[in-house]
Amino acid sequence: MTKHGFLLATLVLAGAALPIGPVTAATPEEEQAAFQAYFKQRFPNVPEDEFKNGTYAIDPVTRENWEAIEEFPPYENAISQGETLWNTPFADGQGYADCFPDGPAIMGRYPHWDRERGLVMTLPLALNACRTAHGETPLKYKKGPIADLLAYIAFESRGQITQVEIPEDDPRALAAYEQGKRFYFARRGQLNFACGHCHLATSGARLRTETLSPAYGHTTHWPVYRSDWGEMGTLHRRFAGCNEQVRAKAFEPQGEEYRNLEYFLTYMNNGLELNGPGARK
Amino acid sequence: MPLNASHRSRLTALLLGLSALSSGPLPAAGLPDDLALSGDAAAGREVATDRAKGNCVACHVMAGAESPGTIGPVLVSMQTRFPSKRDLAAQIWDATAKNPEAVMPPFGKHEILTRQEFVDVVEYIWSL
Amino acid sequence: MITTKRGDGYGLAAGVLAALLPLGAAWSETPDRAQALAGIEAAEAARQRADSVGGEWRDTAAMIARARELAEAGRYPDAIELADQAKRQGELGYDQALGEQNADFPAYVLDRSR
Repeated sequence: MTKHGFLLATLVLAGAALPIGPVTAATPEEEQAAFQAYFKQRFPNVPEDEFKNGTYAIDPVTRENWEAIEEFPPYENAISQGETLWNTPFADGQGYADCFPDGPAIMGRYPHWDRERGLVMTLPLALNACRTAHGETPLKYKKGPIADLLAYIAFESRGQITQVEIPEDDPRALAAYEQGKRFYFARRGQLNFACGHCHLATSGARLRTETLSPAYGHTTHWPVYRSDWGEMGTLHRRFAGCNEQVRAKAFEPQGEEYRNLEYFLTYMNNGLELNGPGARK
Repeated sequence: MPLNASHRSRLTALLLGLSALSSGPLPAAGLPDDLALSGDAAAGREVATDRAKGNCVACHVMAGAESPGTIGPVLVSMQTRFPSKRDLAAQIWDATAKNPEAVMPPFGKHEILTRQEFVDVVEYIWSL
Repeated sequence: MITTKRGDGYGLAAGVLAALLPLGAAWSETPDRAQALAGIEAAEAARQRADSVGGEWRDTAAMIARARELAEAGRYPDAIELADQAKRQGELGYDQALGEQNADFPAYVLDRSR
């Protein structure tokens, strides 16, 4: 698409996103459209289906190195260990397949609003719910076996499209989304940064030598082998790490704060293809 | 979070820097009127490039500092960009006082720097 | 080690505070130790208040733990300084969280006034 055409599309999108008249509230759909239009306008040369690659969609220098890493992916081991875990029966003889009868390719169904429990159900939470229902101890949420299981599920789910829903007939779902949104834009920690400060207006800029990644694309590729960790980690591990980088106390992985944050952020990424597990610096 | 080496050194630094702090609580908001802006530019340069301290170079291009970030404006000709050293100091103390949307951390208000480090950094940046 | 150079004014102030506060047994100890413990308690209260609104900062709890160690080692002035600093972190974090309660999309992404 030409730059002109792109701008036009952005204007049309932005127009669709904004209510007519002195209305201050916007629906989640309108917020999502404004969010995505912002990134398309900010990075007009990045094809929409490239945003799932994060920094590597916008930084050709680091992309080359990343593509080399992807030739022998550092997450391969995690996928095979995760597959073993998936197929290993619990002590009661049952297994994950009994909780998830449609098989491991289920990443695209999460996170979702769980009407019965009245909370945002994430895949790690569902995996542990399965374990405890079968008398197994829950897994820790940041790394280790949970990351392996997620790597296998993510790999089996590649190609699915992010399509988080916020059911209109349950106001608690909208409330969870709103909480996640406030979390995303709230300054915190001694350094006084909000998530949005680094990953909206300054995305693509460099913090020392690191290119700040756009928020559009942040949720597609988890779990991730992060060179900085030297191992696999989950999305909530990354949330915690970001919070600590701004010198805020991290919240509990899979606690309400991060689950609502995941709900909001994944909803913002609706339409992007799932391509986990991933490799990042 | 467990206390790692960098935290420990930071805490030590906090303790060592205490003589530079007044014993009473700092004012919650603005740059204190009684703060004498007579720091040491050479010491300020160290603080400005130290990752755990000023780390100005994380976001700003600065003369002589390697691998600068590109988030904030280039730190050059500061004396033509700020009417006074105190105005510059106010910006570093808490940039959101003037512009609520400012991204820059409030180095004074949030005590990211000790008072001595703060006045040293102001002196150095003012010299650029 | 930093000594009690801080001056008697501070001790006097603490003494006055001591008389005003119903802290009971703590004040049968030496003023400096009591002052350190009171400072640490105040810092812990400020930290918990910040935490209650999701505004606690990363290092505050570690600073309080360190202040406790310093107090145990008899380094009261150091403990008091660190506890005071942790207390200010708690207060700043609390104010920050309250100020950000209605955080929203920046106007450059979504202009609510239009």
